[in-house]
Amino acid sequence: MVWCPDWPVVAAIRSGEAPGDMPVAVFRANRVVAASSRARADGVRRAMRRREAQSRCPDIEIVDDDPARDARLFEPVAAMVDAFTPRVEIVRPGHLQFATRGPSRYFGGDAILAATIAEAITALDPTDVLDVRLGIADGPFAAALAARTAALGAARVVEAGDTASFLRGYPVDALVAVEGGRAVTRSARGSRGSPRGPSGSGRNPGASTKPGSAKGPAAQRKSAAPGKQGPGRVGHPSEANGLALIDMVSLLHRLGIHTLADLAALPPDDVLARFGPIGEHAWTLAAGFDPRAVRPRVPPPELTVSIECDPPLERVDTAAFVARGLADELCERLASHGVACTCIAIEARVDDGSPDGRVVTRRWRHDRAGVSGGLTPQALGERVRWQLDGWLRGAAALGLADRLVGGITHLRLVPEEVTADTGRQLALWGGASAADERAARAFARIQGLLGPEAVCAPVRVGGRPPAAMVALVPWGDARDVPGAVHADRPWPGSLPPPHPTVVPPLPVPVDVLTAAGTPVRVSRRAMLDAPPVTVRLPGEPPSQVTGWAGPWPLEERWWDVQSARRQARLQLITESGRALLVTLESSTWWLESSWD
Amino acid sequence: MLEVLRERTRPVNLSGERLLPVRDDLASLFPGGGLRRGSVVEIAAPSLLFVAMAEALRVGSWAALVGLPTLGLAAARDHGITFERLAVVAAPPVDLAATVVAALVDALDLVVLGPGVVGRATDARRLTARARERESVLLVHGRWPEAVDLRLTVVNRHFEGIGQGHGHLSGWCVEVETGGRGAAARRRRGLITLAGSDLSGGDG
Repeated sequence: MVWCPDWPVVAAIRSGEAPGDMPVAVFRANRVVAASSRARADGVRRAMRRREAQSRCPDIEIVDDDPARDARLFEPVAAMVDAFTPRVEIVRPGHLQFATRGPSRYFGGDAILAATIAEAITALDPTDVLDVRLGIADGPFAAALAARTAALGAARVVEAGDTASFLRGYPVDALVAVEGGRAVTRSARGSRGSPRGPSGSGRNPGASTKPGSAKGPAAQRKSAAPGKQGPGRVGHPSEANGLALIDMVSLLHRLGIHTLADLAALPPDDVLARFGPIGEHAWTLAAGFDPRAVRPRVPPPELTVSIECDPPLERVDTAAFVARGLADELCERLASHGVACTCIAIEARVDDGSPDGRVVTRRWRHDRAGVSGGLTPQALGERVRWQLDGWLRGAAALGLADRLVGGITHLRLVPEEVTADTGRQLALWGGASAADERAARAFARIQGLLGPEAVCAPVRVGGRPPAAMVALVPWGDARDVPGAVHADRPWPGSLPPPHPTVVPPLPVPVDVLTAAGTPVRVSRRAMLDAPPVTVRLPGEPPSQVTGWAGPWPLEERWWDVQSARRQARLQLITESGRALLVTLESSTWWLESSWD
Repeated sequence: MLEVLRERTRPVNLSGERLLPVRDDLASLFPGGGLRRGSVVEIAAPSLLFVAMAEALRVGSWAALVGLPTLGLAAARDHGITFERLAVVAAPPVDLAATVVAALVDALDLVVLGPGVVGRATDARRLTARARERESVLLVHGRWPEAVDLRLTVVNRHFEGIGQGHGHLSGWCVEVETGGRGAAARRRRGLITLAGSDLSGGDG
C-alpha cells in the first residue's frame, strides 16, 4: 500500500493552483477535504468550515476540490510504481496498492522494496511537497493503517501473520478513516481529537474525526439529500454507506466498544444481526481477515468491452464521452451475469508511430467495495475518464514519465475482479422508471451525434443577473457544480421575481433616450438626469416608454479587476406592450432581458 | 395530506382522450382541457411555454428544450418548473435536425422546438406524424412549416407594479387567443396570470 497523504493539496500545488510555500486547504462544499501539514499545524482539520479554517490560519490558501485534477496528477506516480511491479491498483488518487510477494523476492525483501519505491516516488518531485508513506501487511486494510503510521518517505512492514495483533490496539474510528474515504467530510462535524490508540491525532486528522453523538437523524437527512439531485449524481451509494459506517462507529463507541480488538472479540453472527452487511464487513476487517486480500481470479473474457477509436482520441472531452458509453456497456454486461466489478483494468492502445501501437494499462480498485458493492456505472465512467485524462494531459503537463504521442486508438475495459452483485434496493416511490431510461437513452444518442455539450441539464446556481442564475451541465455529468450550494442564498441586489423569460446570450445595445433625444445618464449617486421617454431596439422603430422603475445600481466583485462590473438597471414598459430590463454599463445601454 | 396523495397518484393519462395536464386557467383554453398527446402546438410567448410544460413535468413527464438559447431558465422556476426531468438541447445542424428531434419525440412526452429548428416542410410533416404515432406533444415556439393542431397567440399584455419611476415589476398577465383546426377551430380568449398574486402557489 502506497499512501500519499493530503494528495488533493499536493495535486493543487503541483498544478500551480496553490503556492507551495503557504498553508493550503482544499475545500468541497465549504468543508475542508484536505489540508497541508502547515495548515494542520495551525489547527485546520478535515470537515472544518471555511470560515473557521480561515480564523485559525488567516493566510491559508483556498483551493476547490477537483477529483479529476487529483487523478490526473497521480498518474506519474502510478506509472513510476508500475515500473517496479505489474498489477498496480489505484484505490483512489493518492492511494495505490499492489501484491508484494513477487517483487519483494526480486528486490530482496519487503523493506528494501518499500524503500526503493519510496525513493523513486520522492525523486519524482523536485519541489518537495510530495509526502509518501508505505505500508505492507497481509491485507489492504491493515496495510493502509500501517502506511498511516509510517514515517515520512518510509515504510512500515507488518510481518506475515502479525496482522491481527497489529490491528488490536487501533480505535474503531480507523474503520471510518480507511474505509469511509471522502464521505467522512460530508457530515462529521467539529473535530474533537481522540487521543485513544496508537493513531495519534496529529498524524491523521481523518482518523481522529469523531462524529458528535447526537447526530443520528441529522446524518440520515444528509444521506438522503444526494438522492434528490436527480440522475447523474455520482457516488451516491458509497457516500450513503460511508455515512452508515460513521453511524455504526459512533454507536460502537456508545456501546463501549472502542478498539478493533473489542470489535473482533464479539461473535460475528451478533454483529451481522445488529449492523447488517456493513457490520459484518467491519468485523472481518477488525479480526484481520481482509476479504480483499489480493486473490487473482480472472473473470471470463466475454465480460470485457472494447472500442476502436477512429479518429484516435486526442481530446479529454471526447475521451470522456467515449469512456462513459463504454462504462455503461460494461455495467450492463456485468449486470446480465449478476456480478459487480470491484477492480477494473483500463487498457489503451496508443498510436506511437509503430505499426501496432503501444499498450498501456492501469488498474483501479473500487475503494469501498466491501461496504457498497461494486462500481456503479457513474463511478466506473468517472474512473475511466480520470485515467484517460491522466494519460492525455497529466504526464504531458508535468513533462514526466512517458508522455503519450498521438491519440488513443483502442480502448478496452477488463473487469479484473468481480463479486456477486447483491443488488441495489430501488425506492418504492420514485426511482428509475421505464420513461427515465428511455429519456436517458435518447439523450445519450444525441450526445453521440452532436457531442457531449449538446444535451445539458439546467442547474440552479447563485447569481444576480438572470443569465447567471442557471448553469448548464452536460447531461450525465455530476450536477454539483460550484455555485449550486449558493442558489438559495439571498443575493442582495438581485431583482425580485418574476424573472425575465427572454435572456439573450449576449446583451444587445439599445438607445434609451430622454424627451430631448439625448441618452439617459445615471449619476454617481444612482440618479437619472431625466426620465426615459423613448427606447429604440436594433432593427425596430423607436417606442414610447409608458412606465419605468429604477435605476438600481449594481456593483459586483469590485475587488477583482478582471470580473468587476458596475452597472445601473432599469425596468421599462413600452407602448408596444413589452417589459424590458436595460442596463447601463460603460456608458452604453444594453438590453439584458425581457418579459414576454 | 390525503388531497396531496390523491393529486400525486392521479394517472397522467386522463380517461377518454390521452392528455398531458396543464394549469387550470390554461386548461379552459385547450379543447379537451389539456395538451392532447400526439398534437403539435404553436406557442408564441416563452412564458406560455413554461406554463404549458409545468404541470406535465411535475407529474413525471420528461421534456427537452431544443434550440432555445434565449429562454430565461431562471424564470422557469417562477412558473413551477422543476429541472429534474428537463434537458436543454443545442440547436442541431439543419441536416441532423429531423434525426435529433425524432429521437426526442420517441422518448419524451414533451419536446419544445425553438424558432427555425425545423425549417423544412418535409421534416415537419414527418415529425408531426411521428409525434402522433408516439403520442408525444411538440410545442413549437415560432412558425411551424405545417398546419398545427392548436395555436396560442398573445393579444395583450398587462404589467403590474411599475409606475413612473417607482416600484418594480411584480406581476403580469397576458390575454391569449387560441386557434387551430378540429376542435380548436373555434377561437377562444382567456387571461393567463403569469406571475403576481398566485406566484407563491406556482413556485414548485
